[in-house]
Amino acid sequence: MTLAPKDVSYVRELVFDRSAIVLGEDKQYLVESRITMLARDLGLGSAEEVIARLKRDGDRTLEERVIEAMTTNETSWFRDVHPFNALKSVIIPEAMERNAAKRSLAIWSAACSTGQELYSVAMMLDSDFPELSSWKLDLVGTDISRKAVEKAQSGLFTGLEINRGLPATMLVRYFVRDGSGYRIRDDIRNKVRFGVLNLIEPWPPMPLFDVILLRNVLIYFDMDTRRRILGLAKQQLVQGGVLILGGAESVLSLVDGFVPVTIGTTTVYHKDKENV
Amino acid sequence: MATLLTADMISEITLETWEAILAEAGSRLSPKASRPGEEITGYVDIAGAWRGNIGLTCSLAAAKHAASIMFDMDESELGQSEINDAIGELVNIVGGNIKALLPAPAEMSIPHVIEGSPVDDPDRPPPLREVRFEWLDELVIVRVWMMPTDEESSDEDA
Amino acid sequence: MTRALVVDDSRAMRSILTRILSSLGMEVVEAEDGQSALAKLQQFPPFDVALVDWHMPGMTGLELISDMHRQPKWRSMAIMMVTTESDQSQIVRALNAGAHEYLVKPFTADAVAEKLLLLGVKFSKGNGSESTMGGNN
Repeated sequence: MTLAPKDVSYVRELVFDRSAIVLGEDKQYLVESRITMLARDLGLGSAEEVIARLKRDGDRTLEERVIEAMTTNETSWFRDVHPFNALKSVIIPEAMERNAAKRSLAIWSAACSTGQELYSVAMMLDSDFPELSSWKLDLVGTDISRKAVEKAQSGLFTGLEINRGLPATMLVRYFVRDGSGYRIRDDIRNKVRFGVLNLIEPWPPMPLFDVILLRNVLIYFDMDTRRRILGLAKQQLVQGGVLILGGAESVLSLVDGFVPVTIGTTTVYHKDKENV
Repeated sequence: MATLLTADMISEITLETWEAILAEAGSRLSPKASRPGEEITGYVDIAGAWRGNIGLTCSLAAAKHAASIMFDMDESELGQSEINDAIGELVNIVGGNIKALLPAPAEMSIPHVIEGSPVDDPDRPPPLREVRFEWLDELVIVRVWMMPTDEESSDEDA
Repeated sequence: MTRALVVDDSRAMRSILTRILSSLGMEVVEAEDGQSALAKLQQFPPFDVALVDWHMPGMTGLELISDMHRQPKWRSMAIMMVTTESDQSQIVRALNAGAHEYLVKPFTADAVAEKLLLLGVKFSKGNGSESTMGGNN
């Protein structure tokens, strides 16, 4: 069933209004399919009915569900692989050297979705950096979607989700079967914390991070918003801290004060020591 | 042992299999819904820490549709052997994931596919679990039977 | 061109995997069981990756992988087990027998591509990444 263009626009505008995420005009099919699935979840007859309710009732909870439905993306473990290799071979060792005296490390997964990215980091640190077991680790994951954050906190994943990019050795080492799915082990779960955060709203107080992962989320924002978020991210990094973006994304020309550094096939951005 | 395997778990496994392989989400039917068309069934047999079978039953139309997706062939080009192979692989996948929830170790047979439905067989006892799904207006049913193991059946009459 | 060997007794599953791997720009050879797989390994130029089912009539996938692992000329081949067996202990058995990666059925095309990335097997992705195992995209 095709949604009327004005209904599609309504959804696109609502999403932009609340989250600054831009859904282009070509996203008709995406809006239809996601809202139809949401209708099914809610026991409503159709996508049209969901939108009619939104317009009629001004229901904040329903609005939140719609935004969640439109902004959730598929995610995988160790996504793209190479950035994690860069973390392992260069970025973490450098951070450990820098922090040798205070023996603490802080990493933020800033569009963490259902948690795979942050848990991947936690597993990598546990398996490749045993020295860190006596350090203070602050591993933080945030996302605009409450539903995604709750799922991340649960540490529960379906078989289909587990298949996505998780090395078999990690599956064996860090997960247990839980019903028809899998649960990440408590010792890894206890190393991380998740919270809801809308990148365009004021950020809560947070530590300064050695690494910020902001991957594949800037593409959904317009230029001004991207600039603003990158500026804030820079302030949230320690001196010499590193920003990691998604494969096709770049900071250049948007914000000063980042120095691109290529490690293998990955380009990351160092907070420039000269320009604070 | 039966409490290890809930209808919800069977449902999740089957829906995930449909979503991944057939690219078209099924949706779970309520247990009371009834629709015609139990025309083909794939079975796998399990033996080991527990004994039983798992059966996947659907209409011939649904089976053809599944086979056409899995083989990427037009329905008119499909023969019985392709249809049977498709249903066999679907019950292999659903069955294997169900087996993973139940006591180990247990071996699963290669699938065998027959015409008709378990309900046609008067000698077959009712299943321990039965979960019904709707897929494109067709009915798909997953059933799990558990037989007593050798120690247990020595107390029973044949 | 990257070359893949697909070993599974189900024609439907071979069909699905061949489609996925071909769409990733790979050349695919199929085998319906362990014996046939060994014959193809002898007959064809070296494969870059083999996707092996566990339960097959005759030689199991585990036995096939053990055989392959014993041959020095096949040791550089990446081996991924593709199966419904999801028990932790089974995965460990497969890895110890010589499998490098493990994919539990059901899986999507994206999952296959991501495992290949972990294995360092070269492939090329077409447009869009939301494809699934079925043919209707």
